[in-house]
Amino acid sequence: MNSLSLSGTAILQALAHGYQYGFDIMDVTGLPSGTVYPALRRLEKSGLVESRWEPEATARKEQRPARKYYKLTGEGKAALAEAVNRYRRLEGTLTKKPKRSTA
Amino acid sequence: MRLSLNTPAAWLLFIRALSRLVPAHSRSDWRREWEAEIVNHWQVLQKWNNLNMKSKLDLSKRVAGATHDVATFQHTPLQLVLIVLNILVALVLGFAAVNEFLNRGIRDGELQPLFLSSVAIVVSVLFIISAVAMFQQWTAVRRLVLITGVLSILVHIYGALPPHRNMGFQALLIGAGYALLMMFLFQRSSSRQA
Repeated sequence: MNSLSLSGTAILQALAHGYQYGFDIMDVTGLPSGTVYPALRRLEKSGLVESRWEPEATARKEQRPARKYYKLTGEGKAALAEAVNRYRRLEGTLTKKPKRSTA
Repeated sequence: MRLSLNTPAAWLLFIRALSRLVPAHSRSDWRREWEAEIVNHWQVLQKWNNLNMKSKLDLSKRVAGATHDVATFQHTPLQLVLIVLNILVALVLGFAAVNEFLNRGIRDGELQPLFLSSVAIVVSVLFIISAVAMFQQWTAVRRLVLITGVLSILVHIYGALPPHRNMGFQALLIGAGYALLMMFLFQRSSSRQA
């Protein structure tokens, strides 16, 4: 499995916290739509995310069009845990090292 | 559809136009998802009495991102080269075929050139249709490229054979040689994309 990008990790993290559709993910991650949608497609293609259309009846009851919802797969959960660990390790390494002088 | 900033019509129209650039097999899903997001977002803004210039500008920014989204569907450089070459070859072969059709076929009433140039015109049209199919990523594109390639090879080899020799070496090279190259490169670009 290829390691996840920062935006991919942010999107998986948002999905893990119950944000399920594109605009919602954009709001919580601060990523632009031009990043979120292609990333969702890529993640779905690699099996980390799956999508489903909301039942028409549910949407009709609320008088709005049906949304496409995304959720993490088992593989996605594992990839997210691995990516979060990687970023934590990186942060640990960086905090242990003395700060680089910029002068 | 009336274009007004008091309804999401303008944004929906933009998505509808942009969806023409999405490959056929993903188009309806892509458009449906974007339209649903826009309408749902609009309704939430309306419900919370938050429809103002700032929120509309924010929606415009989100919808503008769809252009980048569409760009990720687009072709590899090799596919773009194939599309352009297909159109060029179709124009070159088509011009020669129409010339043969009109002069030897219609004016001189020769049956064999009339038949061969008619088939060559069909092959030229098929090259253009294949280019469109590659651009829009039709599901039948592989079959179409194969039919065009094989037909072009057969027509040009037949046309170059004695006793008629309707076509010269250059036509044979372009018609049969390029057809072979097109099938090979298409196969290669498809397997790379997969």
